[in-house]
Amino acid sequence: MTSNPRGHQVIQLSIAVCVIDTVAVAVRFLARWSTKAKLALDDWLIVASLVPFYGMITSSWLRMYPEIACFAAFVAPFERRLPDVMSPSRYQRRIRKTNGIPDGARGYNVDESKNPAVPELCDLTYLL
Amino acid sequence: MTITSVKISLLFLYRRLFPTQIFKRNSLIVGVLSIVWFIAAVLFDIFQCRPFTAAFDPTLIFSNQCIDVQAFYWGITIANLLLDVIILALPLQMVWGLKLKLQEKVGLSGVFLLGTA
Repeated sequence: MTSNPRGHQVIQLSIAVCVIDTVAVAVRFLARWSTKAKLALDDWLIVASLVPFYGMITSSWLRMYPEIACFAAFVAPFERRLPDVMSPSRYQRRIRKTNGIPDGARGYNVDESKNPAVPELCDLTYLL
Repeated sequence: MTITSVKISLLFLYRRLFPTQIFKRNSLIVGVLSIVWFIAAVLFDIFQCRPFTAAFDPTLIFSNQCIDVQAFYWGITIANLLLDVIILALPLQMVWGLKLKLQEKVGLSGVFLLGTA
């Protein structure tokens, strides 16, 4: 995967455009409220157009810093409570099934040499 | 979808300002054209390559058939630009049909042309 040499500029530009657009929509609503006009369909469509726009900015952020998504998906849910014995999650069970490890195997009776590990989803070593 | 939402919102705003029958018909045509543009852009973007996952799967980089994205983006952008020009010209046509002084007409055209920014 090739990285974008202008990635930082994209991030800065997207933040600037986001701020300008949000301010513009806020000023539009302020104008409507001050002239006591009713908020019609065109105002709600402008707000609706901001939603995929924020999604675009979030996705470009996550492409630039994928650690955020990996943290949110795989670390944050387990941060507070981690029991001493954890039965393998559905993800782990599928990984073991594809590697041929039978169900019911524990860490002490799995032969790592016969079952090489599958690279996980958030394997970020390519960034090095 | 952001672009199409903004265009449709502008058209609704103009409909509020100029509620004549001719303008409603014209703005309806332009709105339908804009939605058609959006559907075409989304469909072309989704079904870009012939094995469907080749658009984002790096292991399929040598065994795929994709459309020429350069040409696609050129065409989509030109269509978008033309739609924008039509949407900008719509209120100007109504403004220049009003019976006002030339200075006021130019001022109103300037207000509507702030959308070029």
